[in-house]
Amino acid sequence: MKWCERELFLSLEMPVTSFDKTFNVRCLMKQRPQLAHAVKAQRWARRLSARVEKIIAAHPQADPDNVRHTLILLEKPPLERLQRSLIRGRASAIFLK
Amino acid sequence: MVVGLSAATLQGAPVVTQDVDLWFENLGESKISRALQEVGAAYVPPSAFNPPMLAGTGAELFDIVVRMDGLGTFAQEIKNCIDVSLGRQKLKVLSLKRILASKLAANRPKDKLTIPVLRDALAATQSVKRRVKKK
Repeated sequence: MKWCERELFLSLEMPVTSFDKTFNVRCLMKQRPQLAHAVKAQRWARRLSARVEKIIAAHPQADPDNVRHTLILLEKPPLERLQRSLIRGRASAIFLK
Repeated sequence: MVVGLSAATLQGAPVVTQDVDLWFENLGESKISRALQEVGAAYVPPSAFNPPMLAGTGAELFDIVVRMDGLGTFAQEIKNCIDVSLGRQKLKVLSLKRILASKLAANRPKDKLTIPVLRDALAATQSVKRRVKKK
């Protein structure tokens, strides 16, 4: 529902509460997939940082960034890990030239 | 066998590399020349100033390694390999622990930069392996 339609409904003195409920539900329905993704991403990030903390507790000299990046890469297939490494390595070599 | 930093990346180490280092037991093997022919490349034997190398566009990502600092012979090190699945193929990849040992032995300026990263990656991968075993 567009903003102008909402204004029209309001000007017709439609009960605000019922309209707002419908409007909010429609907005939520649109946002639901994004919200689900965001919630999933937050859960993943929490799990990841818990695992990093656990490893750092066992290896206090380790750099948390290195540990975090390793754990992220381990979730990717080996070929993708190699592709990323080669793309970045070759790009930086060209840049240095 | 895949060695060097490309082998480390296949095992999850967050490092960058420019090529894939390959260590062969016997460079004269017919399978190698057949595979090279298939991608329009060729093996160039060592000369006075050049190490053995691969030439041709199909092989430009690959380098040949004849020995590794701080490591044993090919026959000894193949025992320290892990199998990494790439599609339908299984690659022999030198273990992260042995890659770290070779970087420590070589100790060139570029190795010194990667040693702490490899060490941390080894700690992380070992903890992941322990977690998987527990499950």
